[in-house]
Amino acid sequence: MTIDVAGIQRLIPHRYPMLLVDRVVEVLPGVSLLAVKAVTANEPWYADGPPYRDDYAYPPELVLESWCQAAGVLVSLDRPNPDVRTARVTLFGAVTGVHFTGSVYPGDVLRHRVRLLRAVSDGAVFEGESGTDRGEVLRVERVVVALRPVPASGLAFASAG
Amino acid sequence: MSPFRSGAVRHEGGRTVVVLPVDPAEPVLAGHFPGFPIFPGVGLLGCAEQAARSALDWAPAGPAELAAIETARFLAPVFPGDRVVAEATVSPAGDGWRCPVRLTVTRPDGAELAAMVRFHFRRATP
Repeated sequence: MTIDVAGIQRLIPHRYPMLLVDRVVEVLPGVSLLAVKAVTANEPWYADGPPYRDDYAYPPELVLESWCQAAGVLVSLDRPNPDVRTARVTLFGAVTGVHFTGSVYPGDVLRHRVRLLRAVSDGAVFEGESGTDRGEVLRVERVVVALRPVPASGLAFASAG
Repeated sequence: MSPFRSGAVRHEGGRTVVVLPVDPAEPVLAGHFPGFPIFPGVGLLGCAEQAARSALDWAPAGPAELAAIETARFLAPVFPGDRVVAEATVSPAGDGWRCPVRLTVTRPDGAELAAMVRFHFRRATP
């Protein structure tokens, strides 16, 4: 089973310029997923030149965000979450042991492997890794994604963690 | 400069402080999320990384690259119009440095802890 951009948008609420998954190429529902994201110099992080000094490396926190969105797809397969106003919002909860093991540049295609360790009603725990043609770039020991309903008043939304 | 690494930097009392007002017109908010903008957790990580890198430069620690997020906890959401304050320190650790960063969100009705992040930077070849 593959999932294209339209299918991804039916599952998670992220949209341009914050939709950082292009295609899901393998899925075992409730177990694991392989997703890809093509990195280009046309992304907004490059609007003013290099994101950091003279280096065009893709910001590592965005590699992690992209991986987390792939995790969001996996946990939303049986409970689609396309619009935070009518469904839930996915947020980073806690992160442990995220290792950046290689650099990513425009032209690279990231391949994210995500494995679901545990799902609970208001969140899920994942592990996995990401790579490019040159090898591994990210290893994730544990990411907890929290799913929260959006309250009538956003500011009442006090403990998102 | 990424929109997540564009805060104003100052150094005080052994800490490096980055202040990032979350502009409601910030383009990333349109996609995160339509109809209900929330400053993304990745934005807090970017702001924290900016503070940590500025602290390393101030030390001065020499060339460093981000090796790991050892831990990060996200405790409160950040909304358009809020102000994020990231405070970073540096200490030598193994083949590089450890940088704990504390992020507070302030808004007219008060302030609260938004996130705690601990980075590990490794020594880079210049």
